Amino acid sequence: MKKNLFKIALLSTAVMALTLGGCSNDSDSETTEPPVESDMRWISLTGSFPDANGTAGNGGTRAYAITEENAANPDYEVDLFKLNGAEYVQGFALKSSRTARVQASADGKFLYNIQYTGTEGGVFNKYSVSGAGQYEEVGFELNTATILGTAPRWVKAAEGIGVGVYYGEALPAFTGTAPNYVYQNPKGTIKIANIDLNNTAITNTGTINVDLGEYEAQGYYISRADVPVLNQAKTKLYIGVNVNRHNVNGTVTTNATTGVISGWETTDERNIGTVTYVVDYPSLRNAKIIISEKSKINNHGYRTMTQHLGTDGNIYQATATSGPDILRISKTTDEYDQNYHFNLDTALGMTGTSIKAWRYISNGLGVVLYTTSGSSGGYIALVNLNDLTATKLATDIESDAALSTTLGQFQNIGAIGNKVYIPLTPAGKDGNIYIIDVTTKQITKGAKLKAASGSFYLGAY
Amino acid sequence: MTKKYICYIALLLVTFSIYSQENKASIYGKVTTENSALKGVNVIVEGTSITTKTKSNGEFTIAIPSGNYRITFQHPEFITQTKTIELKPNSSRKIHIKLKSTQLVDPKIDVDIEALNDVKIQGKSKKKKIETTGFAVNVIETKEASLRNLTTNELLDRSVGVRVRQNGGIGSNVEYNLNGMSGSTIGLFLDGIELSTYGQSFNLNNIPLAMIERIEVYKGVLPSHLTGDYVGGAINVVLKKDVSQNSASAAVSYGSFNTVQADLSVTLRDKKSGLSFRGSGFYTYSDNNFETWGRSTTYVNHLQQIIRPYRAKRFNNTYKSIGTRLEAGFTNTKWADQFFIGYNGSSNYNEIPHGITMSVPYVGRYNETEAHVFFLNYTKKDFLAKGLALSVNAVRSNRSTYLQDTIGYAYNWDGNVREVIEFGERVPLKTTGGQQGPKTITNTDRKITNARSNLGYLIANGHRLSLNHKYEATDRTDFDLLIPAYNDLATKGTLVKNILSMNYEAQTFDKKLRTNILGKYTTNSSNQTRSEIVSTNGVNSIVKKDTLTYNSNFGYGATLSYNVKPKLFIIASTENSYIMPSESQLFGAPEINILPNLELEPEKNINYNLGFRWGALDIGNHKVSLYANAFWRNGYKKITQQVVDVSQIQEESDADIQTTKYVNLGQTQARGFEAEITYSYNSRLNASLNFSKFNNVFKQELDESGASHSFYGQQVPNEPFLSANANFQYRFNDVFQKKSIVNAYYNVGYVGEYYIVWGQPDWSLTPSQLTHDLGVNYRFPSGKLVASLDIKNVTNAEIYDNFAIQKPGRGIYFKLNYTFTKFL
Repeated sequence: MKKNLFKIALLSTAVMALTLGGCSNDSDSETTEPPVESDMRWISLTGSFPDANGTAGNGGTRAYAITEENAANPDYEVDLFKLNGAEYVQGFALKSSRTARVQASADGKFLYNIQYTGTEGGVFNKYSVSGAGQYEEVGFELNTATILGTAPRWVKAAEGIGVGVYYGEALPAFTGTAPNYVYQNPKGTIKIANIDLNNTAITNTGTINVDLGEYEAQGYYISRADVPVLNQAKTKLYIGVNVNRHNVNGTVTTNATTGVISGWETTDERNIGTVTYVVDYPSLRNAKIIISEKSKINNHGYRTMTQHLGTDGNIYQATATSGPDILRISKTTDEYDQNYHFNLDTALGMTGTSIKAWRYISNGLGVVLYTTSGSSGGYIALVNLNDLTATKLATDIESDAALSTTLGQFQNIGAIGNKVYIPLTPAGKDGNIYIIDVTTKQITKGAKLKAASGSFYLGAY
Repeated sequence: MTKKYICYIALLLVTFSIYSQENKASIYGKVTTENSALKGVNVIVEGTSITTKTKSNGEFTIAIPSGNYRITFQHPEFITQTKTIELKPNSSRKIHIKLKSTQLVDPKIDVDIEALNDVKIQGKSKKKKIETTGFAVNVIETKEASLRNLTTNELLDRSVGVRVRQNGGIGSNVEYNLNGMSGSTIGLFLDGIELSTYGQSFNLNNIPLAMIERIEVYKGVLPSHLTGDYVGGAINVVLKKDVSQNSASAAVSYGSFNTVQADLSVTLRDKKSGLSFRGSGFYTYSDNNFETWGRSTTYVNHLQQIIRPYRAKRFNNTYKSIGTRLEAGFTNTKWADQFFIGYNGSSNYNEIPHGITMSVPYVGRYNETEAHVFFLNYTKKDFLAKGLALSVNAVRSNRSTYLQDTIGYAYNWDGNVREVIEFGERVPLKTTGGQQGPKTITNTDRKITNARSNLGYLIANGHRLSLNHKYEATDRTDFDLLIPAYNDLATKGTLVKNILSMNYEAQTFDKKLRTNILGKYTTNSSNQTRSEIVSTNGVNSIVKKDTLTYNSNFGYGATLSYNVKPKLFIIASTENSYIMPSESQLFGAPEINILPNLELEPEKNINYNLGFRWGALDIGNHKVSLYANAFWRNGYKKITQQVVDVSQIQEESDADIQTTKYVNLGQTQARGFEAEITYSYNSRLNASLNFSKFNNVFKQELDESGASHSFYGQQVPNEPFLSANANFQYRFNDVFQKKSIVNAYYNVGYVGEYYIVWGQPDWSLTPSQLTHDLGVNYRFPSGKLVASLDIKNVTNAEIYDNFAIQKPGRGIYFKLNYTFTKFL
């Protein structure tokens, strides 16, 4: 630490002299950055590191902002996990004891995060981005835990608007006593919180009393809500849900050791299509479900956004993180477009693909990160949602098995104009930023990303 | 360390010949060792302030009024003896005492009998003796502290190498850290029986120091009378056993945060039959309504914006505890040195004011615990044969833990319900269940049988063999009182643990070298009955299946103590053992937010200790003692508490950070040392300074991808690793009144800063802490009444132990102690 002070002092003097006012609140910048301009488009890279026990990716999230120029330079190196003794020296530690769920403004000037578990799980923080490790907390911290739990499912639902959702208050799946238990649908509620990202405030909340109607008697139930997105008119909010099915002819399940009842037997047999909850925005009233006829796979994300607003005004929703489908919710009817179905398997002419993360870029073009059942590794494809085609874009690390772990936790694909930025590092190994030009369909290797044990890069913003 | 002796010497200097006027009588005599006169033995008349020292010919004289007395003979290198004596008016009595060397006495066998003038003599303080056996052990004497406004935890926290991490005020959850070892690796014992057997309501927060004879703190290697699954060491609380005199004492303390602590104890003995009775009781109450002003407390407005720091006053943290311990039996009869049966009952009411952080308060989450314990104690020297000693301590406990959390609104630290905008309107904020997760009412009943017996045999002079057996059986039943059907099919059964241990202790090389070899064999078995629903032709029925699990392990160790020159001992110990996960680690403990983890494996530990004890060295009026110990601990598959990983929880509603569970953490290594220096000047100033530093290091060499691990060799985050304490005491005589004594105390404690996560980001820093405590007590000339005033955290410093939970600021406490002797 002390050894570094002199170096840091020198550096900050140099940076100060150059910029006449760019000031740092963090003592970490080891690489010299070009002079800071106020409208510089910074690309923030985030990565997670292990917890105290060494569990990969569970310790927290660090961020580092680079220029487009550096991102494209294969000789430039980002080492987010560089240690000097016990101290990280490059980048900024976002407040979070575990992997953060980071979102960003479209211009890259602000990062938004709700701490995902950890001692302050559920606390929202907003950071302004001024290059390298210079992130400054701005606005209010928000306490979302009471409404959304300490591991909130939240995303930026539209520019300046965050929405968090939480499924809870499930009923016990049974009534009666041993041995003749009777099945009871758990129903439950979905809590919704609208977050004003500009003024950092929760401006409205609402509750959906889950009601699957006729499907409840067949054992279908919701166990998670996620990935809320707003339509173009900002009048409807679409919430992805995870639907599972109980075997109504079964009985209770118990904890193998303690014998305490843990739930009700489930079944994989599924006839209900992909389900999305719709509520009015911003009133959060008039909840109803819409069901796709084109897919029976769930649409909730794991740590990434699975539905995006297209330039045509429709919502495109992937059955991520386990399916190959992209479905469309019509801007005119606010219902699934039952005539539309993009299937990655079909588009690539293969089987067993599952979309782990994706992003709609523009004019029907999108980028998909996927895995396949046939081989290990993680892959990139450019998809055309209008003519239902896809082009696989090869990377030199795509067959690395550890990449599937990374994609499972992947959070955000960066996009500036027609350029797409994807940091790819197999868990614990070095990698690169891959840059895709969606108009030319070219993929190029950009800046080098240094990883460390149990650490990997999760997103570009 | 030698505070007790220093104190007695002090008493001697000041209060010689007080009772000299009327009703004269005297005691005189001689103190010898096996073969020669002994100089400098403290002769203390208990319950009075009369003391003297033997001269170079071993002789002493005490003038004293007639009556019944207990006379204690103390010398640091010899076993203390106490003699009860009846002194008629105008008579004199001659006593001849032979003191035994502290060398080679089985620590468990507490009774040494020496028939002499038909007076029974008992061994008592054994601080020095225990500390030079070769174990890394410190003995904390409680006599002085029991007069002050101190809890047992506070006293422990000031001693060398001990860090007590507490979540708040009195009654809050406590974790003990002995030089970097913590959690389940640390055993907590009461007279060699796990303290948990006595219930959560009988713990080191509320057991009054007045009931305690001494506390032994073992680091690392444990003696055979404290065996268990504990590789980090153990804290053994030894309760007062002595009943040789009819006496009673009472104390009551009141202070900040509406804290009341009271205790009472009585001992009675019928001399003819040896029938004895000891009874104690305590009551503790605190509102714990202290203020916090650091970052940890927040105010959340209706837009859920967090305002911090927010000065808050705890309003939801009442702690109430009541307990009693009654025992009756016989002492010093032909068939038993001690035979007691007794009852130990206690109950607690404890509000849980917040989760793992303090950011928002809980209202109405509380637990109630209760324990009814029956016990039996038996000790006999020369049992069946000469040189064979038996001791048995058996406990049967019935304890319960009740937890309730049913209030469905969220609160702010100002005590009001938080607000939120819901469907466009500003309304009170409802939670999605209770205060922490779903609404809960649970009760856990445990029936525990815990017995320890020890058989010691003196093979030849200087060679002793001990066999120790421990049996523990736990029967646990959980009730969900909100939805009882959840437990309809609950597994029933008993967990049984047997530990057989032996040690062989030898004194060789002119009794300068003491070696101790220990072996331990542990077995765990569980006999469980599971219930399963079987459906035949559409008709459900419950089928019960019995399953038996069994595992065992073997551990061993050795200690060594070498008396290099007078007063200098080199001590060393080593141990290689396994520890099994405990019941609460496996099955969880909802009342302290711990989830079950049934996949836990036993952890293996190899420990080494090496150190010395030197002193007390006399340099004129100055006395100095030194102690230092270095340790090296290797843990494999170390069991440690971890915040629950959300991916391991199936239902999202469980994914709450406010809970943790125990996991096996790869490999760790702790290296460090502790040291203590004690100093006294002219028997008026006593000072001690202790220091402990360790490196708890991450030792997993390879990561998941097979590369060398980036964190290899680094300090594991979230553990304090540097601590120091200094204690000062100064005595003033004849203040306000002749023959009165005033003691002034000052304690300063330091804990170094540490980070909560890897990489040391600023926000995860737990700052270093410095606390100052002051105390003063006044002993009235009668010696019966002592008044104490204590000011804790004098500077009102912002102090933390755990996960940014701020501890109490300045507190002022007043206490009165009264001792009755010679009644009935």
